[in-house]
Amino acid sequence: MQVNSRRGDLAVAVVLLALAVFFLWGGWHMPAGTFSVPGPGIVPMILSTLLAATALALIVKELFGGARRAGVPVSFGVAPVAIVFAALTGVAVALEYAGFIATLSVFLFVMLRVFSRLGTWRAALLAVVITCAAAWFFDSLLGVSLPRGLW
Amino acid sequence: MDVIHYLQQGFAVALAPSNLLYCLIGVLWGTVVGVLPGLGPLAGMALLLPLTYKLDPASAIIMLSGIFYGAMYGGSTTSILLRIPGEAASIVTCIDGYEMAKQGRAGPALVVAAVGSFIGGTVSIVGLMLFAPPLAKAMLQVGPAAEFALMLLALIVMSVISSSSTLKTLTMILLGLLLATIGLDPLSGFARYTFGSLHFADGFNFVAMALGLFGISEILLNFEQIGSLKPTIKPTLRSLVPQWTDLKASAAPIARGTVIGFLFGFVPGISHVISTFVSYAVEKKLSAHPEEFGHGAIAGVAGPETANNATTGSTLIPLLVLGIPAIPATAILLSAMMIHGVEPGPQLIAEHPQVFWGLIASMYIGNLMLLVLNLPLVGVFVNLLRIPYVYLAPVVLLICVVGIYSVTAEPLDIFVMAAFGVLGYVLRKFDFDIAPLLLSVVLGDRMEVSLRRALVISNGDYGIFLQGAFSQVFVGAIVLLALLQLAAWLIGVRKKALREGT
Repeated sequence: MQVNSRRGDLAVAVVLLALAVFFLWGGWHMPAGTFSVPGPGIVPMILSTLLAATALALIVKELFGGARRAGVPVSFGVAPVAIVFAALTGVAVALEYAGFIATLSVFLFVMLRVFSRLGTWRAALLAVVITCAAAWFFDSLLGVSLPRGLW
Repeated sequence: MDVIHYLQQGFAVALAPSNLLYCLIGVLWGTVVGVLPGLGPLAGMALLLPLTYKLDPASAIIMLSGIFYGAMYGGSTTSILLRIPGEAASIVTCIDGYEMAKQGRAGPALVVAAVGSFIGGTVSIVGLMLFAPPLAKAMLQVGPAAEFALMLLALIVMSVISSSSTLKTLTMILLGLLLATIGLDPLSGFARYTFGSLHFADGFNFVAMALGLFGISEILLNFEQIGSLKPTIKPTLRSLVPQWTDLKASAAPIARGTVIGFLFGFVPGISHVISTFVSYAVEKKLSAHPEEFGHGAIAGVAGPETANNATTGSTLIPLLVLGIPAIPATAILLSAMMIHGVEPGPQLIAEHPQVFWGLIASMYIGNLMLLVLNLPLVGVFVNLLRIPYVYLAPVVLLICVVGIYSVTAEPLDIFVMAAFGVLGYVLRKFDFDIAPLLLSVVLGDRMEVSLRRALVISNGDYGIFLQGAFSQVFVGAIVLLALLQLAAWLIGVRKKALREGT
């Protein structure tokens, strides 16, 4: 997928503006204190206002700044990003229930199947071997406590 | 005399057999992560962080620092032999280093890079050893107002020198500072943006953020460029011996690179990268044959490689003396020190002399190890690149998961790492510099505490930021930088108007 850099900048700036508004709203509900005894809300309020201002400046710059600047196409590897993000999220969810070896074996299998040209059985074998080796190295040798799962 | 006495104690710590082993592991792993694209010193340190939990603080810091400066060495090997910069600071070395390799002069390029790195690194440690203690003593006088001004100055310097536009960098700094407010308020204990969850009481896990922004995003970027490896140029052992003319031509660039690197090490942000570009530009300017640059000039390898390594000592000064990490990699070192109960700052040298002087002594030893080991092991390091990235990346992701989980035993941090990985990927795609974002997260907490303490002390009088010599110097520097930026912007606008008028 290709996105124009100018549109990308604009999208990032809009997200940052939304984030600034969210933080501003949160800060508004915190005790602000006084200038001599500043409360927990004052710094988030100042920072979110400044972030909103810079995000707005970025938006104005992209919309009206260099009208002749066309921007450059930026390629996005949406599929690899989505796969890695989904796989890591899956690990976060399953790790404590299924345990380290089962979860990370599946994770590695998915990664190897998707990104390498290994066949199903080879990828599965390699995933299990690497995960068991990692579990032995970190858990048994280095004493890092890894989750064993519910069984 | 004090320095020599303390250094002797430092060597007693560093020369203990176990610490020698940890130093060796650190520098070797550092070289490996420096060689492999996508694994810089930051990821390298974060990945080995769990290994240090059972070590005493001095051993842990010795090993992690070894990774930091070892990575600076590693990057040059692949830059010269494959034109693949293992890490950002080796990009410049690709230009003339690879040209030299193509001309059959890979050996001299590698030797000059290694010797320059050794000299730059060693002189930088001498600087760290001599400047850090008096600076720490001076910084004990610094109050919260001056501390706030100093950190603000660091962030403004970052916005000025960043590779991205000033506006984009300022946005990243503000975002980082805002993210740092998540969690319990450091002064009142009020929960901010936690939505009643205990998971974020301490804010986002810094290691998860760092690994996501730098490690995961780099892997995602590399997945797009999976292609065949360029043919490796394999130097023979005999070809490693440089000629007298090579050494003569490299001596002055090495000396200049040492000074440039050491000075730029203090600059927050991407000092080690900038120092290499500055060194290259200086060498080209001073050369009697500037036309040779880009076609295999040995000065184009010697200067930048020396500068790159000469930043290591001076980059550690703000961290050890002020507790302010100048670059993202030293921010991980800061986290590691905090985990081990060692708080960097003006009190560090007095409270943990075995850590500070042990680290200094180990850096001398580590640099020597790198010089002795790196050249014979060139072939091994280059062969690491033969492992297809499609196999390497999943294993690195697995180690990242273990590394993060071992810090807090909290699976949510794996999700945080993944989310920041995607954020880092998107931001880097659109040329937003992520180093200021991460450093702002580190500094945010302390900046807020300093600001609020200063206001409490002065009873709300902002004049406190102009009281005292330190505050005045820091605020003066901030004003000067702002004026310079404004002048540069006005000149740019005027030039543009003139261009459009003609």
